[in-house]
Amino acid sequence: MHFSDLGTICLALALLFAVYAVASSVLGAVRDKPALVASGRRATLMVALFMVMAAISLIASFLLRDFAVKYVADHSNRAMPWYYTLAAFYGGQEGSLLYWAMMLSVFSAIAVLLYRRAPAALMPYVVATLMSIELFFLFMLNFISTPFTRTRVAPLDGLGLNPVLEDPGMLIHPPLLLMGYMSFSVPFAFALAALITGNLNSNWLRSIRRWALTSWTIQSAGLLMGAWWAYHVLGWGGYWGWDPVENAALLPWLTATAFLHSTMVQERRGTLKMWNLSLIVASFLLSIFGTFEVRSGIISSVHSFAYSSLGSYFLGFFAVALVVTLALFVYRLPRLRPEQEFGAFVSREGSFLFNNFLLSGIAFATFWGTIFPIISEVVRGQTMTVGSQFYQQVNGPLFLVLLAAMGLGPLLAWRKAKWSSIWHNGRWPALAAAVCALILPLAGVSNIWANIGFTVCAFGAGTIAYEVWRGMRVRHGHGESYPIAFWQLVVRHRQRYGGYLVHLGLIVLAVGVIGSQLFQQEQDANLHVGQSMTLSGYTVTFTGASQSTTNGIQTILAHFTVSQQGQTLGTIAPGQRIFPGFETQPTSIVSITTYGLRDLYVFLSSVDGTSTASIRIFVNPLVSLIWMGGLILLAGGIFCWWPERRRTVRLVEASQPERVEARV
Amino acid sequence: MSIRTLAKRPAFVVAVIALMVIGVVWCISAGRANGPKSLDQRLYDVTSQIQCPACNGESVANSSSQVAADMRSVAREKLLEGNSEAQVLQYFRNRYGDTILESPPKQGFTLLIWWAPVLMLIAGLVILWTVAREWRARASGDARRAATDERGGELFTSDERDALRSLLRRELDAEEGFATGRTLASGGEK
Repeated sequence: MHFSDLGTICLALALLFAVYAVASSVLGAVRDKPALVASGRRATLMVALFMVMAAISLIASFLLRDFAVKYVADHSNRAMPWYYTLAAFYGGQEGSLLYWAMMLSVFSAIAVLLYRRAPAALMPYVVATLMSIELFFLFMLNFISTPFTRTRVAPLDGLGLNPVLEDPGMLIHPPLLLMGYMSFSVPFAFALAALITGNLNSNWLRSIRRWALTSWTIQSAGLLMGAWWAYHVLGWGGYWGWDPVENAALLPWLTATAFLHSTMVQERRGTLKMWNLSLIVASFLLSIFGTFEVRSGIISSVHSFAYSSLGSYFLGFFAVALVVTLALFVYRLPRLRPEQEFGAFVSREGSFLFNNFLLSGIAFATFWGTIFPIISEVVRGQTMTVGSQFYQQVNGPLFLVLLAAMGLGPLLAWRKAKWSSIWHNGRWPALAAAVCALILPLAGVSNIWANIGFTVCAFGAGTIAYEVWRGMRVRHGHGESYPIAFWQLVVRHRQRYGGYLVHLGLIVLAVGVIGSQLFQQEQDANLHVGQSMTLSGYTVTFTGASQSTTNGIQTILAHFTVSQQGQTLGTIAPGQRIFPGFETQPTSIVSITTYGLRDLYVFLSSVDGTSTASIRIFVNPLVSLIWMGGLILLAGGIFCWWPERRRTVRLVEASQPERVEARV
Repeated sequence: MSIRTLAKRPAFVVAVIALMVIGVVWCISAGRANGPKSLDQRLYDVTSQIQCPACNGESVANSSSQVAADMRSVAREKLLEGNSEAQVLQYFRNRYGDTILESPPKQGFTLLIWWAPVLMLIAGLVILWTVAREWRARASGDARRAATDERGGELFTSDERDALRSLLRRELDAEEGFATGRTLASGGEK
């Protein structure tokens, strides 16, 4: 027996157990039979077990180079190192579906295990919803797009992975993004369960929020990894191209961000229930849209290697999910009335509403731009592309206002903010912004848009600093030293200060985006050996090309020395790699060297013999801030998510000496 | 609160001066922004509006393909010959048709793509405003009920507020007490 046969069996068993889990959970809940419900939970664990085994079977087939398995032969070859062979698991359509379904089953199992005691009424429906989604994927994997199909005669070697994918980014970006997409299923399942049971109090809100934060953090990591990969591989000096697939990944992130804010309004004031549920549902539907869009081939994209014919199935699933949720919404409308009333516009809840308004606006514009080519094709029979110009012009101003609101929001009180306190709290951030606005022209940055952008960022950063300082001062007044006051403050209010950390990350990221968008320098050049060119003070001199072949992969490198004002800074070697079987698609080795906050980004277009090289060279200021901001943002997400420590006797004893010391 | 009483507060004065400085700097920079663009900038402006015919979803400005490089050098020559950016763009539109454009033109049917987000934003603002107003109208009627609601948060009577304040003080004291080990037992309940 081959591993692929084991995989086929596991998929079939998982399907059966998933059907059973749905049936017994629903029956158990409707007939009020706890034994059936418990049985449904255990079935969920079995589904996870079989899915993990199926995934292991596929990985084993890959590592054992079992080319009789069609999927393995199509996506790997003997020349590939083991880690890319491992990554080829999700390198194609069938495998990525298996990965999606496997991760969903694992997350479902985690949800089942974590909520063993908690909201008992919800769980059967959570399980039923999760397993229904799982069923759709299992149906596809078993009948439509199975990764374990065997051919009668095994080829001697496989076709190999698309060379663009043989990159370290492949090991992290796709699994993170697929996991992000998948993870929106869990909050969706909780939302649906809440709608079905009518159990719409703040209990489920707390369960949902943690999961939504999990999804948000994973999706953020996936998006950042995608941007990083694009920057290092595609060779156009940018990190985000408003490509349809990138947009699709951004959409659930936007709605989840909106949810994480508006949920605070519901927690504090009991309003916006309906809206919060819609955001959770929208995040899930958009993540299905994203999973499906990559595969449908209806929109051309740099990701088109994932093309397939599964579009109609996904569209069907999408439609069913949409209709079911809409019906439930209508059914539960009377219970979604707000418990408490809204205060004033100028208040914390008002700022959250505004945040939601902007985020939904950005999400709509992005969605609209992504699907407009389809509309145009249907209505006018005319193909067209919607490129980054559209998104920059529409979303750019919205993002800027959002940044400003991010600075202002935390300064407003709940219910109704007094103008005097707004002036009082706002003066330091406003002062920080004014200093920034004044310094920039003096430092030689005369661009008006840069000034507006950076000033808004300074305001936001000022707000965060002021908020932290204010909290620390209060604790200091109670006798804590400043470092301890800071630590106690952030640890006691993880949600809030984790949120500020995320804001800080976004501000750093925004500075990077503004800087690199407005001040990028770019030039093309054809250089003979010994010739040089200069861009933004960096002189690049071509010293010759070299060629080598390892494992059948041909590597061409063009060598340059970099100097600034006559001083040599080092050597760089952008190049190309040509993989066997993919001779027409050379992949590029982009050379990125960071000097301070500037990236010298050199892309080798072509080499003529060893004497001439054509290159594109970019000087990208502040791009490294994007990655730094991204890391801060992720740290903030994890900090918010980290479980609160329960205060126990042991803990009190442990912290005792430290605190005594502090007092002495 | 009137402007006059506000003006006596230093916080207000500081904030207003800061905002005024920002406003002045922005106005001055906006006035200076109309300087001549460099050739590279103009080239980028044109080529970023044209789609690379040989690639998927990359503009001529961004694409690293040979076709895009050739088109960039054609555009550069045209600009050097004294053509305006619009003329160069029109040249490419005439040669390749409207599908060469990176984003839909702001005319005819494709105006829809540009206006729909704006209309949605306006609609969103209107909805937000009416909904919030409705809530507020109900809120003023329900203010008393909300005051007795256990989740009311801030709407307490002064007695309740005092009670809460003393509770808070006791808890803070208890926390301090951890340091001396006085309230270890009470900490253990949690």
